[in-house]
Amino acid sequence: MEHVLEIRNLKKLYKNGRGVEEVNLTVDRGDVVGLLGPNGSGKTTTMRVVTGLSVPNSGTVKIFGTEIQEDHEKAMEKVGCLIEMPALYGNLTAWQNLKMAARYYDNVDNDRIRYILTLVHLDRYRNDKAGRFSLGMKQRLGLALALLSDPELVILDEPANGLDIEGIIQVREIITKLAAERGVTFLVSSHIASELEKTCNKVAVLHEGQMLTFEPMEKALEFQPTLEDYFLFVVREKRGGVVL
Amino acid sequence: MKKFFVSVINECTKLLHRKKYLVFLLIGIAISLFNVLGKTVVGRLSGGSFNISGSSAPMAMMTLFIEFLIPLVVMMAVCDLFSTEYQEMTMKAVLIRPVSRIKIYASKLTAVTLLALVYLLVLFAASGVLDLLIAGKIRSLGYAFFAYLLDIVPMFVVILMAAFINQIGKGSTLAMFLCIIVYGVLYVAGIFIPNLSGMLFTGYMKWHSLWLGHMLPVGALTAKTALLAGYALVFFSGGYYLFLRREI
Repeated sequence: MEHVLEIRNLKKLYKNGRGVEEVNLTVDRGDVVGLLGPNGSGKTTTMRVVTGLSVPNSGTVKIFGTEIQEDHEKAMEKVGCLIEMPALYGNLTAWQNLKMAARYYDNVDNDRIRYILTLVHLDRYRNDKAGRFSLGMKQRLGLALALLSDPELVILDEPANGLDIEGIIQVREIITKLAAERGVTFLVSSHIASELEKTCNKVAVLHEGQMLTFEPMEKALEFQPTLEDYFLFVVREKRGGVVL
Repeated sequence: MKKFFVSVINECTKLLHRKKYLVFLLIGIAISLFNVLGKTVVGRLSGGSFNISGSSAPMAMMTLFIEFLIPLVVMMAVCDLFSTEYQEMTMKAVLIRPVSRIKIYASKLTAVTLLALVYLLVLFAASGVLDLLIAGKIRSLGYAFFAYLLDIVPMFVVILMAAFINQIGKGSTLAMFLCIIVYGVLYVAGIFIPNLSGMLFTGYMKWHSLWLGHMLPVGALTAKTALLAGYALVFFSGGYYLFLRREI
């Protein structure tokens, strides 16, 4: 199985002492991996380092065999991502935002932009300025930007943020469809266990900057009825059986 | 190189969608208009007693454009492409694309340099045309054209300085304030401390004066070019180092 993403002994600590330590993760082609953890557990930090937005204190991140810190351009060639809030130019339209991103890829033409806008249900608003979008619409446009280049690895940080129920279901359907039909690999973070349970085939639990477990969803749910229960079980284990 | 050119197009797109750059350009043209009109009206009303239209409009307006208006505009543009993007978190939009940081940094500087070049050429052309239409004269346009063109060189150093400052400040307002203060202090220091003037890049804003007309000896020209190149190198490498290490 080809390793799409390899994180080895990743350590990234901020001045306030928060961050992540000893994160190890291997994502294979076609995997939909969920990063589960409460707010401040280090999910976003991990994703920021993976995408080259942050520099790690130590450890390595390889995407398709290329280390992100050594050759960012090559490593990010087949990657699409949405980290924290979508990065949108408010004074540009949805179309213009996508067009600017499209220029970096040879395979993205205007038809692809139209298709992506339709996929995220924003085709009606293509000429509206992104600054006037609601939170949910911004999130959809952020998702469109992540999927625009037809990436082989998609990294989504809390993709359901700001979305209504319909939007959350649509995002779930997009992930499931792309993974099943196109073999796209996903790394999705969330603090909502039920969301990851419905979309992911592997789950990693992050807590207080440490990766507690990383295993297939089936194994995680072998002795626990839900992923939420599994998460609580893993965290209690770490705390030596102390009830939360 | 394709990624670099794509980045330049994107950075230019961002600048083009900010109306203030058009407004400042129109202000520059309006100032030229008032200048030419004023000189012509005064000349005619005085029956030729007061002839204050000695030099052509492009050259008469040069100090204002080269030393004040365009530096202000390029500093604003640099702040828009760096600190405003840090502040609004839009820098992330570029950094997650398959393009290296050196290309991003260089493309932003190139876009602002192109903006400065457009300003120089448009303001030259506008003041030249106004001179012709209102004063009815065409004077030393060739000289003025090359003068405007050559003055892009010190402007590029101003752009690099502003880019360096933008990597230090956290907000766009602070970055803009620092750029104006640093430029202003260096400019004024060059006026009041003549010995210092030759050492500061702000003393070479009229770069053309070294090259056109009465040229300086080759040795002096080389020394001044090396000085400007030194400033450029320090600002570029310092700015890029901070940009490379910057956590977004």
